[in-house]
Amino acid sequence: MKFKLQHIVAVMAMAASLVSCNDDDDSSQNLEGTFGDAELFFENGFAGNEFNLGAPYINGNGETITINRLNYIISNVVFIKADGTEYTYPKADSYFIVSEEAGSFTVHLEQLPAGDYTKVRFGVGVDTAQYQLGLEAQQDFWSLAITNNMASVWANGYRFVNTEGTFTSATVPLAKAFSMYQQNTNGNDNYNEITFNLPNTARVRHDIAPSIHFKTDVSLFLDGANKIVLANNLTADGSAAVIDGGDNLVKIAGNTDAVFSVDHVHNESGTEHAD
Amino acid sequence: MQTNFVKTVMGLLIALTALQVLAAADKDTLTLPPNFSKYLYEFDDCDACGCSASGGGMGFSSMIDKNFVGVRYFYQSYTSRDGIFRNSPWIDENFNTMQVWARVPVTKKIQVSAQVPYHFHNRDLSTGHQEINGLGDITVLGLYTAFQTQTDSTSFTHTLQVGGGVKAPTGKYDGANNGSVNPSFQVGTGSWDYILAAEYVIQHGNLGLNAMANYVFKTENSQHYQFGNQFNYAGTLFYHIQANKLTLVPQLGIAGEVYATNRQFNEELPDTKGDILFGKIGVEAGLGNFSIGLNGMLPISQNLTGGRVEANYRWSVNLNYSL
Repeated sequence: MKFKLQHIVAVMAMAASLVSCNDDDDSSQNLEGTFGDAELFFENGFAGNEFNLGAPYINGNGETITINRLNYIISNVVFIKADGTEYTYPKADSYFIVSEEAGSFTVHLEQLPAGDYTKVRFGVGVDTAQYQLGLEAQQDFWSLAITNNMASVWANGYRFVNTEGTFTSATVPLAKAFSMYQQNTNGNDNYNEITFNLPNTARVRHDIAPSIHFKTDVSLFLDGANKIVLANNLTADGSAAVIDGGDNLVKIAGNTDAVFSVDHVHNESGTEHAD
Repeated sequence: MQTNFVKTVMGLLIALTALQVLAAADKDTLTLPPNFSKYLYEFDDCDACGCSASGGGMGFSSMIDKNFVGVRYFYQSYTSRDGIFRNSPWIDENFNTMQVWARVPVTKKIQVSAQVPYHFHNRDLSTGHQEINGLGDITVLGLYTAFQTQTDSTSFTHTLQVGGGVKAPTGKYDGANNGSVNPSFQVGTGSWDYILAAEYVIQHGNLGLNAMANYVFKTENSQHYQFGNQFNYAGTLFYHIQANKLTLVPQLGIAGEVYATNRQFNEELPDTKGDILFGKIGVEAGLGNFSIGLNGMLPISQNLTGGRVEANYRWSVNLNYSL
C-alpha cells in the first residue's frame, strides 16, 4: 500500500494544534489588592571564597584572620518598582539579625503588595530614630539582639555588625583576639542604607515568593576602600585588637556598602532557601 | 488542555507506530537503495533540555541504516559548581537517557524521525543526593530530500535533506531544580519547541562527509521559564568497510552546540548562555537487519552556563533494526 502524504499532514496538523494552545500569562493579571511574601537570603563569603567560622583567611592587609562570630543587623527593608514607587516594609517589623553561629541567613518578609520590584534597599544596623524610640518600643528585637550578642546595655545601643575572632600578622606572630563592633558612637551615625539594583525583577505574587540571594564579602569590613590594620589597634596591654569606636567605625561604615551584593534572584514558587 | 495534550501525544505515538508498521510492511515496494547508498543518511539532532542537558549533538541517526527503529542509551557526565563562590564545591552530575528512536520513510523523498527518551539523572548536591527520572520530551521531525545525485552516475554523490519538527513537553519541568546549580538538570524543558534542520552528505567511494545544522526555537513553559534557543552543528567523516555481510563504519568528527540566554518572565537570566565543541568518534557495525553503534564525545572547548557547568564526556550505545 502507498502511504499518503495526507497522513503526515494530519500528524503535523495534530502537532500544530497542540502548539496553538496558549497558557495563561500573568502579565495581564490584576495584581491590585493581592499580596505575597519575599525573602532576602544572605550567604557570607570572604574575598570571593566561601566563608566558614573558625577558618583562617588572609586579607589584603597582610593579616590572617580567623572569625568565630559573624552577625549583622539588616533593617528598614524597602522594595522599589521600576517606576520608582517604593514599598517600605512596616518599620516596627523591619529589623533582622543574620548570624553565622545561629545559622540565620534569611530575612523573611510577609504580605508585600504583589508587583514587579527592580530594586531593594536595606540598612545595616539600627537607625538613630528607631533607637530613640526607647527600649519599650522595641523590647522584642532588643532581646533578640542581646541573645545574638548584638547588644549589651541599652546605653551603648546596638552593635550593627559583630565580628570576633583571632588574628596574626607580621608583627603579631602569636594569635591574638580581635573584635570589631560596628555601632553608633561619639555622635557618628554609622548606620548605612544600601540600594541594590536587582539583576532580575523580583516578582511578588500570591503564589511566588521571590528570593533575593545576597553575597557578602566580609573581608571588606576591614580591607575595603578604607584599610583597618588590626595590629595597629591593640589594646593598651597589647592583648587584643578592639575596633569599637572613633574613626575606625566611620571607615567601616564607608566600607560596608561594598560588603553586600546581589548574586541572583529566584522567582520560582517553592525555591526558598532553607536556613 | 492537559487532557487534550495527553490525547494528542497518544495520537502522535500511535500515528508514528502506524507509520513504522506500514513502512515495514511496505518495505519491498519501496525502491531500496543499494547497500552502499543506504549509508548516506545521517541526522543529528538533540532533544536538548536547555543548556547542555539531555544529549544535544548526540545524533539522531545511524550511518548504517537509512530507516530504522532502535533503542539507544546515552550517558552525559557534567561537573557543576554548587554555590556562588570561587571555591564552592564542584559536584558530578550524571545524565542517563534510554531512548526509543526511529526513522521511517513515508514517501520516497520524505522521512519522519522520532525520539522518545526516558531520562534518569542524578547528582550529589552539598545538600544531598538528588535523582530525577521520567519520560523526556518527545521529538518528531519531518525530513525532505531536496537534492540527491544518482549514485551510479558520478563518483561524488550528494544528498541534501531539509526538514522541521516539533518537540513536545512530555517531560516534566521542575522549577525547583533550576536554582543556582545547573539549570538544565531537568527531564524536560516544559515547552513546545520547534526545530529547523538541514543535512548535507557528500560521498566518494567508501569515504563520506556528513554536515548538519539545526536550530531549535524554544518557547516559554507554563512556569514562565524559557530555555535559550539552540544551534547545533556537526561534521562527521565516515568510512565503509564491507566484509561479506558485515558492515563496519568508523566515524570521526566534531559537534558543536550554541545556546542563547535562558529567560524567565521574558527577562534574560545572567550567565545562562553557552557553547561547546566536541570531538566525536564512533563506530557502527551492521549485520543483516541489525546494527550496533558506539559513540564517544569529548569536549574540545566549552563555556557553559557562565563557566558554572562543565561537560566531561558523553557516550552512547545503540541497537537498531533496519526497516
